[in-house]
Amino acid sequence: MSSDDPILEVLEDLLKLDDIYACMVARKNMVSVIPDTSKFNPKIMDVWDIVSLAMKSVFAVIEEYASVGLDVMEFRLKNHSVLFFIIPETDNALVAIIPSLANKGLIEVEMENARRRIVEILKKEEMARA
Amino acid sequence: MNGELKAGVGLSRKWDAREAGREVAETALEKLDGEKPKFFLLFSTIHYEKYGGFQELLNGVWEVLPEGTPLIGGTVAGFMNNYGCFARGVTALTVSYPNMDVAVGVGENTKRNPSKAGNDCAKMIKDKIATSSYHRKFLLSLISATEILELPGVGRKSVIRSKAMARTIISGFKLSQNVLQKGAGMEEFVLENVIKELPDFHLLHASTCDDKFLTNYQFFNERVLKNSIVALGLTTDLNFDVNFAHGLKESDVKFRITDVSPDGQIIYKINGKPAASTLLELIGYSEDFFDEKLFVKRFPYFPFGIKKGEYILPRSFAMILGESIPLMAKIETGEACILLASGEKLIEAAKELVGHFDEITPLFGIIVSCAIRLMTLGNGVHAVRNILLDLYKDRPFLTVYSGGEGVYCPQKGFFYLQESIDMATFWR
Repeated sequence: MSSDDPILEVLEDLLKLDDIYACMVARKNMVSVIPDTSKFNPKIMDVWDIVSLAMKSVFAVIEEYASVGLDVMEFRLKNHSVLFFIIPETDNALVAIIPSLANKGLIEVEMENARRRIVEILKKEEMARA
Repeated sequence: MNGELKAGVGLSRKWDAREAGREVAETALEKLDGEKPKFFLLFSTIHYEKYGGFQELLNGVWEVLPEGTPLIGGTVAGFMNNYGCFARGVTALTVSYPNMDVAVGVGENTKRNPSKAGNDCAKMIKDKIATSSYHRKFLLSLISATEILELPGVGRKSVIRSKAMARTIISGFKLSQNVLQKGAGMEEFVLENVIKELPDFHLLHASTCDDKFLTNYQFFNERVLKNSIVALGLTTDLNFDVNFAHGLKESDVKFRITDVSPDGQIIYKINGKPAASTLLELIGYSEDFFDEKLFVKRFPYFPFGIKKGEYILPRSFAMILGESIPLMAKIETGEACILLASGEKLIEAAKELVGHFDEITPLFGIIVSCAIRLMTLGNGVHAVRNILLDLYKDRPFLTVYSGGEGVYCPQKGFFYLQESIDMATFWR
């Protein structure tokens, strides 16, 4: 995935939702697609370092269990929640940072829609390559 | 028109309000193959408020929709249809069918004068549809839901335990309701008057809302409204039925509501004692249960249950104000219990509801479900959609996630509902 990937459009759509402070597609030790970080909500800046560190630990788990059907993970840290929607058959995850008191149910619905769009994009790319 | 019923569901996920309006109308109408729609139902999430506004959304719709098509709609927390499950976007349902007469009605100031609003709306429909030769009558009503108050010096809060402040706020409710039209949705009061005027209609009701119960809008033909009821009445030769389920189960916590406000919207006493503390005692939780930060995440799982005939109706509490418990619907003194919710039970309720229709082949369906169910299930809501797809298959259906629900059948009476899923299904 590169920065001009159509997945960027999916992420930018998600980022327009008030309660999505930041989002990206990432895997262990690597951000695959990330929108322009100036569009991230400034509220995450003071927790960014610690959240990034914690994310690394979570990706170790994702890497280990993605192949056996790990679907969604979440952790809460300093008034923020980080949601990981694992992209099936990869060790990549769609990641969003939201306020911990946000309406997670509604965000999950749109995260799921974004994940499905990403899966479609990846399938199309794979077919084009084949 | 050749006598065939055609129905279409539209969807747009565009951010720009006008473009989204145009696209939702185009995608819905294309399934009518050029036939003139009998009506057009339009539901949107609140997001367009910031991306052009709802008037622009409607302007976009009317660029495509044939002039004079009866249109009602409003804002909802989310929706589910043949395309998927969504917490952002706009959707529509439209039908063309020769054997159907349609009328739309409107009543304004539902929070200030609910009886008049209900009457005005019902009379419009009654007058327009009086000469119809079809005897099966259906009504879809949409009413502005409860809007949470912004309290001076306090902001928007669900829990205020200070008795002095609670007294001040309760005494300010009337002013807020009558002057600002902020506060309780008063849907039952509106609907009781609608039913009085239109007793032979089957009713399905949804309260328009947003994702935070802060504001909401209604759509009536070319107009965007607030604090209103809009309704679609139709008479037809089609069969239809309306039904509801909620899946919440009675717990062993049973009690007596012994003192309520004259309008039934606030519980003052349970078992003869101050309501809020007694509730804590009954469910075995400490004062921490009323933590402001967690309250909204907890309260949907412990609604009160009251009996109406053979049915148990959930009643969610809106706030904790000192020792008082304001509700989002009416309640009377008498026996009550705590109901228990779980994700699994919420999904089972959809199965129970669909079970009412398993002998028929539906033509189209309108489903109303409590926004709390969507917020609780999150992406698990796809399990509910799969159940609905089992019934509707490729036939159009539209589920809206609302701030309150209701069902009326002439044979069974009126049920104002919360945390429920309610369905109107049409077949030949």
